[in-house]
Amino acid sequence: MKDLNSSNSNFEKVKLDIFEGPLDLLLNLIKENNLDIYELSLTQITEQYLEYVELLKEFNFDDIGDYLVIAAELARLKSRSLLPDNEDESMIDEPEIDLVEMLKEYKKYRAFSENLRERVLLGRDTFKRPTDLSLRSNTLWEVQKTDIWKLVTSVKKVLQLENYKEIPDIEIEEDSIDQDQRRISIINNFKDRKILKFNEIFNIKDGRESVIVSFIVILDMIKEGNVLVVEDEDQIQFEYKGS
Amino acid sequence: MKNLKNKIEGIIFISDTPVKSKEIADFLNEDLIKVKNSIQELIIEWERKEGSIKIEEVAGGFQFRTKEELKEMLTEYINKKPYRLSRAGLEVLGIIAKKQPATKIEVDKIRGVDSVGAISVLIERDLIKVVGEKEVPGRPFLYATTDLFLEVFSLNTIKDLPEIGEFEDYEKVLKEE
Repeated sequence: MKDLNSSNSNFEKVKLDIFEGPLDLLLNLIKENNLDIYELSLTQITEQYLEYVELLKEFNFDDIGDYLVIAAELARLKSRSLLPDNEDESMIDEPEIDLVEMLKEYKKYRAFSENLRERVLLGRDTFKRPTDLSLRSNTLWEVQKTDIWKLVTSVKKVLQLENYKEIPDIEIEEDSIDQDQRRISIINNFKDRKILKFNEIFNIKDGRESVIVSFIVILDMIKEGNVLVVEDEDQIQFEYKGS
Repeated sequence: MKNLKNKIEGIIFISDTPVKSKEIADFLNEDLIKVKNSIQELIIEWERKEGSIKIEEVAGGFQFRTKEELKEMLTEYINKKPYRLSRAGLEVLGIIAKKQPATKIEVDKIRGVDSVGAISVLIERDLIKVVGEKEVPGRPFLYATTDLFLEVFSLNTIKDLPEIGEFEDYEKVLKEE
């Protein structure tokens, strides 16, 4: 596993826990393609799912094992769908997981959680009288609304842009971009304006590696609560919340 | 019974967490039914005032809270960085709220992904806690939601949460609205 990532070993490992997981990605892809949760729909989005997993690999995420388990199951469904109907059923491996059932179950809980967010939250919608005796008296809550996959999709699009191919290899092999430096320059950009547009942070002209490093830095900042992703008419923007 | 009502009001006012009617009755050495009735009267009185504050029944107790119409202004006034709860965190919280007591493996199974990060954040934020160990090999921890969870999400008991079956066709429901 380590060898696979050696090409970008200069990046720090990033924890994947900011994402909702492979099932969330699958549901998003199903929705995007206007499909319902059936085995057939899953075979139709297998390719797209694998593209995302490739991207996660490139971002050097800590552990994509859970994504690979689902990828394997998708591949199994796909190969089964390609078999002719008269093939002896007993020849086919029994599924280890029922992905369709899993997705249906997961979808219910995801919807339930979304619903939790709409409740009247203490520390967001209503406040109590704080007392100095209490550590939690000033607790404020903010529940993230942004779908991180939307951000990944936009970064994916940037990385797929034609012009990146025109950038010679030499440029990519130049001094690797330092995460801390990139972070400082992003924070610096935020000093002038609290809100930055997507392409002000992710510009393919800076090179593929820069886009990837920027993405990792932004993810970190989102996690810390220093950056908020704002969706405005399908446009992704970043709002600086840090001090 | 103005005197009793005032005492109760004072106790609710100074309490940091929702205060239960039984706690008040025991402390004042008063009849529980009388205390409960007085609390209901207080709730109505505050409602009639049409002011900025209400008494709300949450986490099995009673608490003074501001009305929602003031949220923007008060957020600005407090001017502090809020705790952020990610979608992944909210998802794990929702699953534990419904399945409690639940192990990490049970949560992972529904999400199809490891939930260790989200669980530790939720514990740190006191929204969930370890309530025991499951009697299976490895004796994994069992997690359940806390009183703070009820308080933050404005629930009186965990039973006030909607049934999970209601979310079968959630998207369709949303479209119809």
